[in-house]
Amino acid sequence: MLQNYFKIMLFALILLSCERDANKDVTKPDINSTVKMASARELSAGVSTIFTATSKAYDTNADWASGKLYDRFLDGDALYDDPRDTSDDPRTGGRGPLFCGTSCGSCHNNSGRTKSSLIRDGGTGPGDFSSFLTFFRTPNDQYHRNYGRVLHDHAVYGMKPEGKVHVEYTEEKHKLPDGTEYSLRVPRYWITDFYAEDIDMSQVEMTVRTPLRHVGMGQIMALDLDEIRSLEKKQYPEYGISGEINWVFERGKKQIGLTGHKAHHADLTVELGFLSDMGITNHRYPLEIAYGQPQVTGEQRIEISSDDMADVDLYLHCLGVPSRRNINSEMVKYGEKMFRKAKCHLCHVETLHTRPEGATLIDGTNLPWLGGQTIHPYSDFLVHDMGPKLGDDFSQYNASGDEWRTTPLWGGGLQKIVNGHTDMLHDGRARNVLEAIMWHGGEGDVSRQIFSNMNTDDRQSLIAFVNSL
Amino acid sequence: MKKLIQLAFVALAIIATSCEKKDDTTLEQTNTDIYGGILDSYVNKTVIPTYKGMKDNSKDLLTKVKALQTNKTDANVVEACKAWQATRKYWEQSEAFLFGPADERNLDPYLDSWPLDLTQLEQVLASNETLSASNISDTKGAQLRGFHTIEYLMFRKGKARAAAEITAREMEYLSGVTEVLRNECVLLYSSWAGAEKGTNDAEILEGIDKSISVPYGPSFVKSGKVGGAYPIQVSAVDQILQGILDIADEVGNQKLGSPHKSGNPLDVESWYSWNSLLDFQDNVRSIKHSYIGGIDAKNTGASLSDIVKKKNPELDKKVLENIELAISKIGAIPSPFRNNLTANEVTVAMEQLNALNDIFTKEVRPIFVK
Repeated sequence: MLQNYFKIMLFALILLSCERDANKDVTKPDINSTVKMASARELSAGVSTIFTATSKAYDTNADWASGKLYDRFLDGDALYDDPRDTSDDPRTGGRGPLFCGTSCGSCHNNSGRTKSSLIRDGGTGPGDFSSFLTFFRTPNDQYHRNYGRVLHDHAVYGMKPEGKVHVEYTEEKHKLPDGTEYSLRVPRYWITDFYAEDIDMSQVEMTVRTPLRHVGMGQIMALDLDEIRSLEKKQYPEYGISGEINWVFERGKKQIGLTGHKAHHADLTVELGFLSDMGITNHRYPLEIAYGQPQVTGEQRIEISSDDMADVDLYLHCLGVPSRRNINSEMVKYGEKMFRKAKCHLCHVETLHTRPEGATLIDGTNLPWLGGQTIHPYSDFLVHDMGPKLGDDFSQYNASGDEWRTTPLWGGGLQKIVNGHTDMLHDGRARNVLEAIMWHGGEGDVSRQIFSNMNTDDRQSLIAFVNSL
Repeated sequence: MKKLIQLAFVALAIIATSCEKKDDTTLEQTNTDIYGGILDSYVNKTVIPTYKGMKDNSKDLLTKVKALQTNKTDANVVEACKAWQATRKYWEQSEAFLFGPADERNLDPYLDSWPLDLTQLEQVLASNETLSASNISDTKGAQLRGFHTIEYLMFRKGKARAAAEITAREMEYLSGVTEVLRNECVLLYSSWAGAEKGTNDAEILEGIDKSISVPYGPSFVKSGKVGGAYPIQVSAVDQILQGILDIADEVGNQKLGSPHKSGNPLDVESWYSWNSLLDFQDNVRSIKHSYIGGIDAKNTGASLSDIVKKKNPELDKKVLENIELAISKIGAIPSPFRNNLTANEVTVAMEQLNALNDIFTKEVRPIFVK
């Protein structure tokens, strides 16, 4: 008890020592010093904030992940990035027979969002990953016979993928009140080349999801859940905003969903990812994803150890969050005012806190460094009805087809540098921040209208602010 | 109580380090000729010449493989192996700049995935399908193509395979997979440098239905200006440093470190050709070229080294000495690496790579990134 109290006091001290104005340095500044103090506004994630704006901005450990933690971080990083082969080697193999990616990093390059072959190739790509997932089922919310939750569009040599996904985009031209033209890319998806009997698309409910940035995973897992509950109680009827928690059922209990496009997972889904995305069985999911299909034969075995998965979980938790950039730019400062004027901050909540005790990994390792932090994810982690135009008719737990988790915006401004593109939203349909905002409907309608009615400079400033996060 | 005191020290260390500001967020746009010069020579004297070397040699490699296909002699296998090594040298010397096109177009995994997926490769070779370049490109994953697939098909135990050992199916696959590698080397070079219409490169790109709308090289140089790859020059300079740190870390902790830790030769990259130690030395040369502003020491441009030398001549000397030490200590590991994983020289080389990493992290980077 005393120890915990002592820890809490220390972390409060850490926090306070960082959360001071840069102009009020405790020590007299040395004009020749090469070290500058970070201001509170730059510290996206308290002591987990990192100061790099390069391709590794999502893929760098927080400073506290040192010593043995850093060794495990490196191991986890390698397991996350290195493609798994199809051998029986428990360290490197086990991929398939069906899969969507060859490693976590194949779709989350540099812990970000690998550009999807939807955009590049019009659907399932060549090679062995496409950087998107397809959930599908019958109109009665049942799995199709001989299929599961996800359509696996890649397979090991000699096996047939479950199907191939296709997309066709229609450009929808629009004009803002000030005459600025923009276009929205409206997708239509369908599946061909089913491995078993053909399924008529009228009998398919499907949704396509591109990978999310793995920024701030540790902080999300350490969130003060009472704060999330209190955010759910805050309603803004004057703006039509009423976010709700997506209660999910995982590990045999009802939990608050925090991760995934619809907040439909409570953890970082390492074990599920290895099985469902890569076809690598593990102690939590010991049967191949394709088990039961006529084309799957042979003995089932565990293909990755729990220790290795824990290292991947640790890697994700220990990633630093990039600091904000350009905070002294007048345009960015003004853009923040516009962000608030458009009421974006009501859902993209600027400041949250983590639990005093931090987060615990799937192997029970506790990471107290994630505890007691003031963080700036720009999300409330609730799901909001964003209107039928953005909806996918695909409910998950109590998140309906039209409901989506507020995407945390931290680190988003660096996506172009990290992954070479600015595709956004759940299926990458938006090509930039402006388009992403213009897709906001339902509870985001008021914000979209306010943004639309701004003059060009105000809109550009708002976008510059979002890109500074 | 002892634990609490330790915890207090840890916390104070965290306070000290987490509050250190090491980024460029409050720096005004420097837009200096000096940084502009560094970016220019980095692109035009280091990156593009390296990729040009790789691209030109990959064309020669394909010619040599086609000659081998036509005339399967031991001498022709040796020639093809030499061409592979010449191409590989440039790839390894590019590994300090695996950002931008290599990353965004997934070319790094396509060119250099390791380990190979031998299980699948054997199945592919045993099949009846046509093993053409277009088929490989469209249907085969990263672990069935690239340098290491070609290496496996041409080398054994550090030597060229006997021509008689190479089966007809292996030869067919070798030819297809080498063409795919050549195409990807051209794509990587052109992604930085562009491809002029009417050139052989442009024809190759057209053949694989690829186009380069905006080459990355000029936009990297333009960082800090409209249309630049990075919003401010300092971030682009930091990216050069990040590339250096990444490869120093990878050589020390993964390429040498992983097999040293596991004792498993299968973890060693390039072990069919026994090219591993050369690979690692070339990786360090990649660091050197990035630092001195060119691949030819007699023809360098503005560089990180210039600035460091101005600020602290001793540090510049230390960096250059430690780069050479890393190259020589890797060279001191008994060859082949796969048979000497636990040799003391491996530990010494790993320590040297970590020392180099530390110098760049703690002494060089703060000069550029406040």
